[in-house]
Amino acid sequence: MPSNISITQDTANPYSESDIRYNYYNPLQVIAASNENISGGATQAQYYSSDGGGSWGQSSLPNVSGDSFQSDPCVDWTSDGTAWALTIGVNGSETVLIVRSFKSIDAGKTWKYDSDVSGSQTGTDKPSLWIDHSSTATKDNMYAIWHLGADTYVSVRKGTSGSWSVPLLITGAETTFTSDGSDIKTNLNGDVFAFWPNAGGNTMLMLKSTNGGTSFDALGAAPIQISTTIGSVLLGIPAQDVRGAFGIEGCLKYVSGGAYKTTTLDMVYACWADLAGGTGCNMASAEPNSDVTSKCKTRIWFAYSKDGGKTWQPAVKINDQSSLNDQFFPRLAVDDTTGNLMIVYYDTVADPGRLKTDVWMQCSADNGITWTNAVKITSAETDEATADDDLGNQYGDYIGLSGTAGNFFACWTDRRSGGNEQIWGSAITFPYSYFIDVKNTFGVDEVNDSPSYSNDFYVAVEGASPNSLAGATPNLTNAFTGVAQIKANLTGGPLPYPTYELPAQLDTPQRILFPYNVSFPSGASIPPFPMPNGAAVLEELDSSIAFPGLTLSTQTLFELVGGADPYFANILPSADNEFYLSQDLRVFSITPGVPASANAIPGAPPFMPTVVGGTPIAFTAQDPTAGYNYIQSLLAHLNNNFNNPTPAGADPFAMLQNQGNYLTADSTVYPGTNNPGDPHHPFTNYNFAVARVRLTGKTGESANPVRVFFRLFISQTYDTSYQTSTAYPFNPDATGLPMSPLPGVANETYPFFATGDYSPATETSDYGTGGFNVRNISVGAADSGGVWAYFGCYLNVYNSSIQGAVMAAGTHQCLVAQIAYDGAPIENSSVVIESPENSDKLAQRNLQISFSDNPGPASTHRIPQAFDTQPSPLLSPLAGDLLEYPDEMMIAWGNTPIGSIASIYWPQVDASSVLQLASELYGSNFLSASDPHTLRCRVTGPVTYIPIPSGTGSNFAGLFTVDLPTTVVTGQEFSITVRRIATRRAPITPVPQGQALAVPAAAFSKRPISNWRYVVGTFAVRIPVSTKEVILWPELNALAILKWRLENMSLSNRWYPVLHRLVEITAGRVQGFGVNPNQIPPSWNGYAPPATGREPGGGHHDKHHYEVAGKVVGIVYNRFGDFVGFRLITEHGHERSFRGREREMEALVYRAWEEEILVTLRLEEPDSDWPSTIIYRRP
Amino acid sequence: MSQRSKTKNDAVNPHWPSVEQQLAASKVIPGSALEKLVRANQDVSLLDPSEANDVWNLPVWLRVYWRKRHPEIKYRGPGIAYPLLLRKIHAWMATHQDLPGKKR
Repeated sequence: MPSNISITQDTANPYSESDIRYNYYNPLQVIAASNENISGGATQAQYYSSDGGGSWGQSSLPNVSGDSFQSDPCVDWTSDGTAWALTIGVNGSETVLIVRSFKSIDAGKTWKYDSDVSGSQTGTDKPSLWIDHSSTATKDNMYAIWHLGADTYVSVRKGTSGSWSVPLLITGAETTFTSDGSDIKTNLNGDVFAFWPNAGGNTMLMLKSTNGGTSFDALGAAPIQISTTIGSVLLGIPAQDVRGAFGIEGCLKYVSGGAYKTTTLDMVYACWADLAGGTGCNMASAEPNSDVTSKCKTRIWFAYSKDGGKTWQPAVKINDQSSLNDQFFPRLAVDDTTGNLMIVYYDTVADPGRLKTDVWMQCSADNGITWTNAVKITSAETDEATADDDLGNQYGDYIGLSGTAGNFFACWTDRRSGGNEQIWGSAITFPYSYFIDVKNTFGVDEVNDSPSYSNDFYVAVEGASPNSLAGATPNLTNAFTGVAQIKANLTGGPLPYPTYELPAQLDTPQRILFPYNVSFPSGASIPPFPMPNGAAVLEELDSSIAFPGLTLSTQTLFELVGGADPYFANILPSADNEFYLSQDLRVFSITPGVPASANAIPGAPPFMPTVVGGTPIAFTAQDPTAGYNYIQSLLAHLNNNFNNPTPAGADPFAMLQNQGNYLTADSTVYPGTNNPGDPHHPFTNYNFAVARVRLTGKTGESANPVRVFFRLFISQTYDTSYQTSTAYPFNPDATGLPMSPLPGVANETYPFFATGDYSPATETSDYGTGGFNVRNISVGAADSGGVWAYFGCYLNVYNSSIQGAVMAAGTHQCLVAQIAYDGAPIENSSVVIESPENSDKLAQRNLQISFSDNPGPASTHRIPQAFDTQPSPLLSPLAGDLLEYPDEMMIAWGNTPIGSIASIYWPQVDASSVLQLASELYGSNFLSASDPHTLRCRVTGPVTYIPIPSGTGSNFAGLFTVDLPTTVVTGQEFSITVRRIATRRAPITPVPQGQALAVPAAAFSKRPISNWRYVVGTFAVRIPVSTKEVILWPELNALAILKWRLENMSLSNRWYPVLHRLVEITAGRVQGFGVNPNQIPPSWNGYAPPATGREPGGGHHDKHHYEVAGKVVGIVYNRFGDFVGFRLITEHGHERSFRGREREMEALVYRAWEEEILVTLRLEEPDSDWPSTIIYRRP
Repeated sequence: MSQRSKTKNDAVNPHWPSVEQQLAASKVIPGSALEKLVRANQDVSLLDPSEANDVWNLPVWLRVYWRKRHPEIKYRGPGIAYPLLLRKIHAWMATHQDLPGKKR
């Protein structure tokens, strides 16, 4: 539900009484109009939007000579794009009131006087305008209706080129007192309906024209009575009782009509406000006026005709609460494309004092027979019963509503700020529902191995409030319910059932999610699952949710695939793990220097250091050769000893150490473990990944050859869809299918291997004949129907080239393993976009663990996380069927404390564009911009949605930061999952139930399936709360490495600003732990406490000094010719400036410069610019 | 206090406010064109007695002025109705007491 928006752009003056209209031929164009109520008199205010109401401009009608001011706005469009406005031109001194028309040929920006509508009449009042937008001969007929005392007149104009007809009197003696408050509408057949109140006779009346307004006698000359009424022309209510010294008591009782005709329906509608009736409220004199305790109240009445206006059903009150509240100023709109109805109105129900109002909405999808419970449109109330309101005008006399092609937009008088009355508006969502699929493809083997899937899909409802939903839940039907057991996720996380976008706002329309689990208690039965190697089968799942006044239906498709393919079983039934932590892909680390952490699993071959010159490389040094040897021997061990799924208990993954731990495996900023014997030389950590591939089938079944690729993404990301042109490129084999992995575009993914770093030779040794990551897998006689095979890689991230080129963007990266098997290639279909989220050929580890301190300052409770985001596809605004939705982040906060603050820094994104998108999509106003590229929100409920802007260029580098409250305590752990949701954008014609895709198109006979939403990918952040003693050492490592990366990153790299901010935040965390972050020098292989003689990668430091080596490339003199310093190019290629003053130093520097001597400078602090010592090195 | 209460006596013997009361209620500046207009439009015989106590909150002089200006409007009871816009005209006159645009 979109946010409210101020349509008025001028806050210096009061505005009230408004009308609004979509351009039916281009709904992105919207115009509105209102009175401007300045004491000097003003022309009518006009408003225009070209983005469907997302933003507005303001102009005004020109004055016509002789007019003192203008009033009573109404607007509409003709099909040639001309915007039209009517107003009453008022000569105040002469009391001349003429209906005048104006037009705009630039969509409402500027206006010109067109002509007079009311002929020679000079006492007109309250016009309404409607332009026929049917496809009949009366298309573009313009109808104006107004009253002159008790009489009502209509004038017709045949389009832009026509002229207004002589006003036609349509009322007779039956209408007395006044007919103020008339309306005129057409249906798509071109029939015209004039409605008016007969205030003297206490009736609502109408007439019909079927000749384009030439005469209104299609149902006979006598007006048709819609209903009797109770109150008089004005309803006295406390909210608008006395409109000042020049005002009038009460609210105008006007009628708002509509019509809808198809080949089978001929509906006409009318609504109005009136006294509620019943004891003590059934005559005009019973109106409450200023008495807030009066038992008499006003309600919105509605009546309909099913026979084109001939006869009318008894009028009903669409929302007759038992409380003492008043409803007034209704406006009805009919969506001609659907027949749906919407009514908006003011209601004081939220104010026990019966004075303050909100705008409420009800809608009907069954031609007015039933109505939804009311939902609150305004996000703030208005009080016109205060001393400083615009007395005389207050709310004005009506509000506006327009609807077409599934879009509705309301406008109203609003005084939420307490200042001048303004015109506010809101797009209003007609409730609808859709599926969000997390996993909608299931393989036979996968299901037999892992029969249960938590949070497999959601049913989403938009545009309803918790109260309007009234506890309704989806009813799921159709074929897939016969294939799988589907249950509401009532007990599991991460989202409750249901999940409200705005849980504290029970009357506000919002997104509501219902999460469901899917399980296959009987496994993958064939059928409906296809035979091995059979064609995929589609099974439909329908959802229907019936709540008061409305039933919403939607559908999705599930794809069942067969095949004795090799696969990953990503879900471990006993763990009910999430998709982002695949059970068949593990990341772990070993620390050979620490006996307890020296080996991955008991009994595996040990890590053997490389021997150089007869001496093994120390455990405190990097030894990548040994790392590769280790993974090769480990894989051999696993494949020789753990290739049989039975007996139970022989799962080597259950024995793995140090998995998914911040301190080791998932991290690329923790290269060493503390060495108590020599703190200056930490023990080296080695990270590895192992994937287990399963093959299920009969003895002799095989998959040859099977390859597994391992890719690290540049950061955490939910954009892990299988796209071979970007993230999953490959060297092809002879058939064009993947043979070996290549780095992704701009190194956004990077492959790792078991035999070496990325190179053509490594690709051969890993994936060539006999390679370590290519195997023939077959089911043997002793394999009990299935076999496991292991593949792996050494994640050699701790070298400078990898750190600089690949790992630049964060402290943890997403790892994806891919099964490349020619017999079952990964293929995206129109139903399923493959990703580790839903494919059994892709597995992922996508979790960052970051600690929060306790106790400690706020800086140590700030948890940063780099993440990558693809831009959303370009949108089709107002397209419908979910195609107008951008992709979104769906952040499930889990147990994160309410009140935590989250930030998203997207340096390539204009934060205001995201806020604009959010205001069009969500009712929540919890998003704000803390700077031009940073969004901020407070955790207020279980979920937050953030739209992802569209774009066609590079991904958005991002930093997601959570500030926890300082009240968290050690031992707590918070889990946040971040998903990306997209629209499946390839509508297909569904297959007959249970039949394979191979069925010819001629057999497709069902209705088109609506689009649905799906989860593209997920990453997670886990935040344990611990103490400084645990957190500090890894944080120092992270800071050193991140600083080094920043120093070596080009300013034009899209990650540079993110990394810069990440360094700042990490430095802040270090500072919060009481360590000066400036004392942590940049280093690609982490931090070690200063020790004499040690040379870590990025600098040299001893116990008391820091050293920088390089050559002098410049000597600096000031304007007086005095030596003031020099410039040095360091051995890492950086230029640094240093100061000096003494002549002796100048001489030394000069000699070093002239003779190009390599020098070492000693500094008190790493960033000091005044060396204490200069050492000449041997050249 | 609501202006809507009616008594049978009011219908027969309406209590019209005096000119001075009307001038004060509309905040008329002495010597202005508006004062002249107010004084010139006191012919209450043009009005229906029920108007002495109806919902429109319009001064007598404005009602008379309107009636004179718009003889084409036929009033079919019960009661006499005025366009809601007249209240805005009243407010405008109060702030433009020289009555610009008036044909003299």
